[in-house]
Amino acid sequence: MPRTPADRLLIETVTANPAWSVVLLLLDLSRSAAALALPALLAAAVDAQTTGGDLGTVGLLAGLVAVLILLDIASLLVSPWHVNTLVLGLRRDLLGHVLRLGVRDRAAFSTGDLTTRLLTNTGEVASVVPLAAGWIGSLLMSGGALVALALIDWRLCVAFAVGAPVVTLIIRFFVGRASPLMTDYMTVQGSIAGRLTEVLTGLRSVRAAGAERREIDRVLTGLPELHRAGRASWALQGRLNLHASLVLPLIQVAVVATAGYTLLAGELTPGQFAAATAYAGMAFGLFNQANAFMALAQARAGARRLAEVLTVGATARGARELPAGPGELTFRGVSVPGGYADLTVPGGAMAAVVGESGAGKSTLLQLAGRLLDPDEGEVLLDGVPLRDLSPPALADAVSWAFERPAYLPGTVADAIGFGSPGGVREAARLARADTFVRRLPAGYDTPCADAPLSGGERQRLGLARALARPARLLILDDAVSSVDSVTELHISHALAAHPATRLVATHRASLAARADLVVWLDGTGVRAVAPHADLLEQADYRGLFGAEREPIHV
Amino acid sequence: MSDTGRDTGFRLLGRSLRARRRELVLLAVWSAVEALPAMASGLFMARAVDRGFLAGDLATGLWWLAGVLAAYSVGAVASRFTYPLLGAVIEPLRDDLLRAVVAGLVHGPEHALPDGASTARVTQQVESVRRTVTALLNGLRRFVFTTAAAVFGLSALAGEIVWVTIPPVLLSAALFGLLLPSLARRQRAALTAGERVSADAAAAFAGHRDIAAFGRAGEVTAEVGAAMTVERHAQQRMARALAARSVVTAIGGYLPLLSLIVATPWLLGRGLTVGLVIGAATYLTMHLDPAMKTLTDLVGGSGLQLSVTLGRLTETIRAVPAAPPATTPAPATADVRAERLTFAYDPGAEPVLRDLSFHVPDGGHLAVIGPSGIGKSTLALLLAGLGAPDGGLVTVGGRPPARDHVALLPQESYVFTGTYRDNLRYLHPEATDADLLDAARAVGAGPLVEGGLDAPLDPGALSLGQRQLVALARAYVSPARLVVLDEATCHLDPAAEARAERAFRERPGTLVVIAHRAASALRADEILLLDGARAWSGRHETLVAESPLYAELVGAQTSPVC
Repeated sequence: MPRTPADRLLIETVTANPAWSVVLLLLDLSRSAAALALPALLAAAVDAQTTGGDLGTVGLLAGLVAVLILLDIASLLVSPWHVNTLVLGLRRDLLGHVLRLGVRDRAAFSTGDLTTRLLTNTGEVASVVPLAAGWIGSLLMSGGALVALALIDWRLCVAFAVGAPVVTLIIRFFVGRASPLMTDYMTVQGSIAGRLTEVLTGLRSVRAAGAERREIDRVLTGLPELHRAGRASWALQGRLNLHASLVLPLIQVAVVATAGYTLLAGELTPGQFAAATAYAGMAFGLFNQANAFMALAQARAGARRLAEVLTVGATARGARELPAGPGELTFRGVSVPGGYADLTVPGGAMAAVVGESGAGKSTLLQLAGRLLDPDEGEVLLDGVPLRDLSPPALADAVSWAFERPAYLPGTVADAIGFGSPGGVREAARLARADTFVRRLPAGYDTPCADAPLSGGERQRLGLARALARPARLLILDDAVSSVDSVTELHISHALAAHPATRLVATHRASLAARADLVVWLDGTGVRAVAPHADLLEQADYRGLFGAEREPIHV
Repeated sequence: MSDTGRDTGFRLLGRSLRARRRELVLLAVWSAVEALPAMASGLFMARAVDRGFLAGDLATGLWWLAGVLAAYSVGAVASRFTYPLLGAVIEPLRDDLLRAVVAGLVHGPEHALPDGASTARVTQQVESVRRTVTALLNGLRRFVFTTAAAVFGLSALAGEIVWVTIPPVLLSAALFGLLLPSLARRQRAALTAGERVSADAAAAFAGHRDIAAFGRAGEVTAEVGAAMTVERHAQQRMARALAARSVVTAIGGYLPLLSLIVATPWLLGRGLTVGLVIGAATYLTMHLDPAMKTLTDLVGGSGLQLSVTLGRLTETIRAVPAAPPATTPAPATADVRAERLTFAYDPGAEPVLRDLSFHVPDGGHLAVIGPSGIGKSTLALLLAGLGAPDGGLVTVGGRPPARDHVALLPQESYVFTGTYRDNLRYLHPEATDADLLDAARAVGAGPLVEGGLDAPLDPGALSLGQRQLVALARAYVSPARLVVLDEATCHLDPAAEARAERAFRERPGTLVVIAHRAASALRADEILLLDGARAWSGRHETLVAESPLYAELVGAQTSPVC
């Protein structure tokens, strides 16, 4: 059978921490052995007690019960410990892997979907270990019970074995069906979660349109499908139960009838008769594992969902360090939306990247700092191809600010210090964030999640974060678009005086005018690389800023 | 659907279960039938031994065994019906919950970071309720009917056997009650730790680009990993409490059997038969012991989990308003008037707007400018009827503004997975395709709909500017006579912004633009300048002369080269 990535993941999980998996298995096996001994000892005690009384056998029975209880406790402590360790490992792997995906690969999954995979599916996968151990234990117990039946009288064992193949066929039929049902259910669930996230992101617009109820209906369009998938799995369980519950008593009664016959013939004691009943019941366990198989099917479905993410290739890492240099940025035949880019930004220069919405400014910037790898061509920083650089070397060299900062963890100070913990306040002053931060309830110690930040204020935190890192290349992707005009004026002064090589995507003529050169994108690649003043002669270029429509002097 | 304003998870659960009363009654009936083997097996077994096998009469023994088989067959047929009935209770319950939760989130407060964390959390909570209610219903019905059947069977065998075997069961139940509080505490702690992991992980996933940009994948993984470790410790503490509970389970499970064996000589002395003892052992090992285990698993595990999860869901679902706001007919004109308008976010807080008065005639074009955080967006919300002023008056067409008749576009434009047609006619479901295409072309979104209105729109594939163009076209085609653009063009380049604003200016009706660039102000008939301390309104020429702040704002915007 060819192994799917999901099955490989399950096998890796079982063997990830082998010592504990073995301990868990041993515990389950010991419990099965003790449970197997119980009816035999019980039979001996019943026989002893019905023929005059023998407290020694009863004492042994009590001892066995104590051992069973202790094994139960040990299993209850070890099993969650082991499972939680595995879950922790799986969650770390998944999180670490997602965080190392390229921005495009990451965008294939919604945040809500990834979170569900991290929280729910990891647990389903890790539970495969106790499921497997419990399964082996119960096999031992059922098999042992069968042997015990044979030891009491071989005819009992034969009576039991007759019904076995029928039940096996039913179980196989069931497992084949349950797994796709589970996957259906999870897929519909994921799509509902995805639409809900969309709506919550645009909640203000939804409110303004008075469209709450409509949106609720839209999010819930998949609900009937979810309902059907759920009901189908219940119906399946019911069918399985009917088959199983009809077949199993038939076998049990066959065994007990045989035992009754031998009891009648005087070949069995009453105690052994009772033990035969108990062993027949234990041997049933072999076929009465609908829940275990259901859980196993769920573990496979969960593994499939984890593997879907884990098999997406993470960004390849280089190993080279970056030699000292001014921060010269070179694009050599790099494919960009609609064309190619060949350009050099000298070390320490400020380059404005301009173009209409959708002309590829963000892509160019992401290529410049290797948030994306180009399909063709090479991007170099101080002569070293970016893809050859080690991740720490690249991270030290480049700092970023975005239109919408997406990760502001902890306090305001934590968020600004995310790139580099030193110089938080100085960076905040440069980004004109210091004043409003100090007005927050706990100043720099205010948790970002509690701070009522406007879009412009968030941008300034993001800019401060970028400025806090002493990098040789500073990439600003429309990073002051929501800032008011007065503040923006101050920030552009600070940017113009910054020592790093700066790549600044902007819609504003004032910023372009302050740049040493302008990279002009028009959707077919780079249209021109030249100073702002030179480009102003072209009407298309002036049109980008709408400058000719603004009254100049009043 | 939840129809009360102050709903709780518990009430919702109760209502949903009550609505499924018929299914629940049927479930109880079939469960009672399913418990038939639990009632008959020991009794029939005792008879088979005493009157058949030990009495030397094989036929009688086999007849009694056939009785056992018959009981199991009836039980099996019953279980064929119980599972679909459980599904008929559980799946509608999940539907009800999901509806209430989605409604609660959509009606609830806006989140500081709409990052999908809340979505994932509530999806999990709903599934958790589904799982735990299933386990509870399934376990409870089994426990109740099996125990009752087994105790009934035991007492039918002989009253003395009940006296010997039932006290340990009661002792176990009492001990279990003592353990519950600490178990509940630990379970709550584990859930809280789990929610922390959920929130941190979702924030990290949402912040992927930033984390990659700063090369901090390793550190963030470690930080979220630390929260995961905390959760693991909490889980371990809970596991220890569960292990303690298993001792109690064992007392309820094994002790009745031991005491039956110990008391056997006494029972035989009182005239009971060997068959009765074996029958009693059958009841205890085959039915009562499993039933005890089910109960303890339930109350300690699923029961607590359910109560905690329902409590948390309550926070989400209580936001649903009692009834939708009544729709009023659209006003004939849309002149906007504010008189001494005052608004504060908190009763104790400094008002964001204070004594603000202005007037825009029907068909006029007002630009609102001022530094960020000064209350411009608040004014937009009040104009759109999304908030009520604390003092003063705001009217549109002579009436308090109703959101049905105002098209407000905020900075964050909302587009959703669907076709372009669905997205564009969002504010005007009756609009024709020609209307939609005209609107798209008018605001500059023509290239986006070149693929036709049936083309699917993938929000993730659109830039922020393209999203704004879609939202602008949507507002343009809406029947609203008042359009409020709250920095709704900030991601467009200035030329595109000018084009969009021009289109709205030429559209019949009143236009209020919360300006992102000073250029927007220059295009308006009338300008309202807010600076916190006071407000100026007037035409461009007047304001330049009267307000130094205005001159600075406009001056800063003008390209120094031109």
